[in-house]
Amino acid sequence: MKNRLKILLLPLLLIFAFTNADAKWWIFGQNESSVDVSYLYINSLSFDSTKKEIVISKDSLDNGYLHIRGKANAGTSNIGKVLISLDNKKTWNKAKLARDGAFDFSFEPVIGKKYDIYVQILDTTGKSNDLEDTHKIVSVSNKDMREIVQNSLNHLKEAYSSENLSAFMRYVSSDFTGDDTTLELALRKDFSAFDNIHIDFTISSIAYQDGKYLVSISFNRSLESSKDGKVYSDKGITEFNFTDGKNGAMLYSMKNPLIFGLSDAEEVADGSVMSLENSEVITVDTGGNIGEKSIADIANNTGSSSSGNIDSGSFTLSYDDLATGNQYKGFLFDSGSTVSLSGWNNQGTSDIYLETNIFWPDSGALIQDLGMDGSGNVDFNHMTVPTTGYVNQPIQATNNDDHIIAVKLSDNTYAIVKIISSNLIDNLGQIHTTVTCQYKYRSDGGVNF
Amino acid sequence: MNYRPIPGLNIYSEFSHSSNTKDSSDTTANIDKSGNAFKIRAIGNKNPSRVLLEYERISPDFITLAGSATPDREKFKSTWRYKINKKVTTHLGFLWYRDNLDGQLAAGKNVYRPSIGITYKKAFGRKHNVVDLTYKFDKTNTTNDITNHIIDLSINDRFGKVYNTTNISYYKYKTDGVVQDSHEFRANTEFSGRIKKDDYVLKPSLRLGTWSNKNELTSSLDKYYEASVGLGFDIAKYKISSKIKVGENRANRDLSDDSKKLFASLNIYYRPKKFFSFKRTMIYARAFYNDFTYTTNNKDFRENSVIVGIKIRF
Repeated sequence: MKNRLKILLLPLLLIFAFTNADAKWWIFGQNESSVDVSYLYINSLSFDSTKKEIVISKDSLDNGYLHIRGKANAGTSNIGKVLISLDNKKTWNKAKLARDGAFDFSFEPVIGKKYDIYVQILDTTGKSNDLEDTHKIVSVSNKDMREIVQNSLNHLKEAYSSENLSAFMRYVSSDFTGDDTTLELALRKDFSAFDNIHIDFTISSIAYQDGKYLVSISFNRSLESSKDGKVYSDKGITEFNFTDGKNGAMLYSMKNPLIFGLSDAEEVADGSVMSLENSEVITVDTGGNIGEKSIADIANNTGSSSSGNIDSGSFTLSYDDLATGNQYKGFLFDSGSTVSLSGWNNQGTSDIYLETNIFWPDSGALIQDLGMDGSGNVDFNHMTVPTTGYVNQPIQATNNDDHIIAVKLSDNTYAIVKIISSNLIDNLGQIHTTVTCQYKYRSDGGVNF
Repeated sequence: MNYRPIPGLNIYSEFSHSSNTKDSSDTTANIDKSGNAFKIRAIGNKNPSRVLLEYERISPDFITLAGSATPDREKFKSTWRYKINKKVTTHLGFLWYRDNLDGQLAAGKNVYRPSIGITYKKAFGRKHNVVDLTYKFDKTNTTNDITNHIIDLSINDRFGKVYNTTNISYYKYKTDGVVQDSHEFRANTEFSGRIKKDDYVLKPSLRLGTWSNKNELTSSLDKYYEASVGLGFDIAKYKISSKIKVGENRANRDLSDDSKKLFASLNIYYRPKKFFSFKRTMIYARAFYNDFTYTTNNKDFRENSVIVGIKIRF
């Protein structure tokens, strides 16, 4: 428990160590002025988390109205009045002011018109806040939210497909949940790993809540590995949040399966969409290798480590005709240990065992030869094993180097075995064989290695 | 719940309770499961700093069919991004999570992942230069403890019309119990260009890479080399994009056969404005050639494939 407390306190101590005593704890070097606004909103959008220009969809109006709400702060003196200008300081309107400094001003905007908004706080001595801090240019778009979001998603898709980082970031909110600079870094890595990116999507649902567009899409994508030209394709369902901004809807957060920024999913994604549609989606590991994982695997790993649930290692099995007992050697994936079998009567004590020049599945396990490592989609370092096609039949163990054997154990967990080397000595009909293999095993039933 | 008490600070929290009954069969008892999920996140975002603190706890019996919560998980995450100036940004991150919250597993997992990074833009006075350097440490306490180190250097730049991306990475993987102990070194660089004339775009590219893996358990060293050239050709007016790529990957292995893979791929995509009555259609053709050569000659093989397809979105 003490250790956990230390872990929780460490980042906090780091943060506080760099702050000024009179600064808000996350705004380094900024002092509070005596006449100021504590917070300021236009409808549910915070002035702080939006850029200077905001385009609001007509759907996000409150019965056709925009409300400017905030709280004035006058330090030790009293607040006199709060004025709102909608026309670049030419005329001023008085806001409703409460005793505690909370104020409210509502107006019915004209669709398409630009409003140059300033908020002035005056204390009883006539001292004013810095008007520039409150400046926003607000317009209301005639488009409905589906059009606005569709337009932003199209821009993001086009910029991503053409690997144009600056064009992509123009549609990302500076308040992006996963941090916009982290997203930039992940996108640069995506562009290095992928070629020929093709994404199709359809907006399945869209809602507006707390200043955010909650968007669900179904997608279909294909891309090419820039490393070896291999084509990967997937389809699924994912979710985005958008917020109003200069270019309409601005990307605020994304969930797994990610469409953009896959190279740092741990930092970029804000949760996962656990849908059966997301059975196998494209991922990129820390080494920039492209693979496919189920959404459950992505969520369970909470990050980029591809070895989290996978046991791996190597084993050598032997078979000896001359031995009086223990002629056979088998392997148990769960414990990662080899076992000796003295003959047929010892069946059921291993998962796979060697007999002369062949591997037999054991204990209810089934096997299949997936082919040579590096051919087709067979890649020992990053591959997905099939869930069907397994048989209770032997597979060649000698003269079959680099072949990968998939093993489905009786408890529906999976392992892969790569034959590294083999040696068979036939001494006048008396066979002695050794086979060395690498293996990977997943105890959680996952199929991605 | 979303709460913004002061400028730039956003506190978000959510709590869920799930109660499920699994109707097993007529003869066996139903299984009842109920659990809670709690999450709180505070983001302070005001230049030059952005701080995120997040804590979540999801009990093992919290069942969600469509949500994004991972059951049996207690997690704390913090990140701090600080823009020192317009050119330099630093990142500090820390992730901790564990499972086995009710002690129901034979062996649980305790994962610690601190990270530190720096992004340097316009280094050496170069307008398009971006240098990213990150270090990640990954420690998992479980049956066989895992300790991984990852150092990654990435440099992006542009020389006239040629873009370059270079990555150099070092990985150290260690899993106790004589399961894994290896070092990896990866380096790759890619030059790409984009030449546009009217509606025609040519996109040449060159990629060179190497990767070595030293396995301390088997005292073996595997080395991989990859090289490829590509040429993309797009006609925006007709919504046609294509790319041809030719390359070679070589593997020199200590414990098994060396190998060489010669590959070529051709991809052509065409998106007609209208295809019969369908508006969103993509017609594509893909061709691949892979030639594998091994030290043991009888393992050599070659595969060719041609795929022609059409994608229609309704």
